[in-house]
Amino acid sequence: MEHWKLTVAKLSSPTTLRVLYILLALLAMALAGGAPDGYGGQY
Amino acid sequence: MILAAAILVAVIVGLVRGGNLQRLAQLPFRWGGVALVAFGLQIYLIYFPEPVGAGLVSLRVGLLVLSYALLAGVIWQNRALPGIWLIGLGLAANLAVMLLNGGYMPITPQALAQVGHTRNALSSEAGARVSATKDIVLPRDATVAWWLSDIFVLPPPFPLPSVFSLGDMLIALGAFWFLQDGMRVDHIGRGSRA
Repeated sequence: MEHWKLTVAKLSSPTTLRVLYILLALLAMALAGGAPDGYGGQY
Repeated sequence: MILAAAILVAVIVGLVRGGNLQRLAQLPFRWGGVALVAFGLQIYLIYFPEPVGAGLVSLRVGLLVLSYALLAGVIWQNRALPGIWLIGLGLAANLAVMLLNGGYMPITPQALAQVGHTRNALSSEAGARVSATKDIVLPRDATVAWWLSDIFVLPPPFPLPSVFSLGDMLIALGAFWFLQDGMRVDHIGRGSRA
């Protein structure tokens, strides 16, 4: 239980959330702005 | 898919080169939520498309331009960050070629066949949409600004067979640059590298 609490606390730290925010935004920008044909579906 | 893979590879390369994700968190990146909204609009566009030939004055093209306008806002807000201007250049190239070709990204039947996606074209006629993409199938001589369209082919046995444009390449390079610099440079004590 303590292990899970520590893991959740680490994952919800401001730094981790900020990294996720930046990576998601970059991914969204690349996918929305790009237009490759891959596996018949861009996404 | 190929662009998502490029970002994943950039993160791995950054880690291997001694960078870390905590440094990325220091970047003053803004308007990330707007990028997600633009992405949402594009999901709508590719899964609920209008018939080809609706013209440039259509809901579809309006939403396409709106999504790129939102992305342009994100680029402007983050223009001082590494690689972002290159992503902006890629976005502009892709939007230009799509607007010049009725709001869709042209791809030749040959390129589609090379990656084994012919079955995804919704018909065998020129101008047919390719399902779940922004693409339409157009012969090279019917494509305006062909050099900006989906012309680069990564055929099998490459694990993610894809066709992509110069704009896609610029976006991938910009994202790579952004992540390498973002993960390796201390942005608080700017300049000191990992």
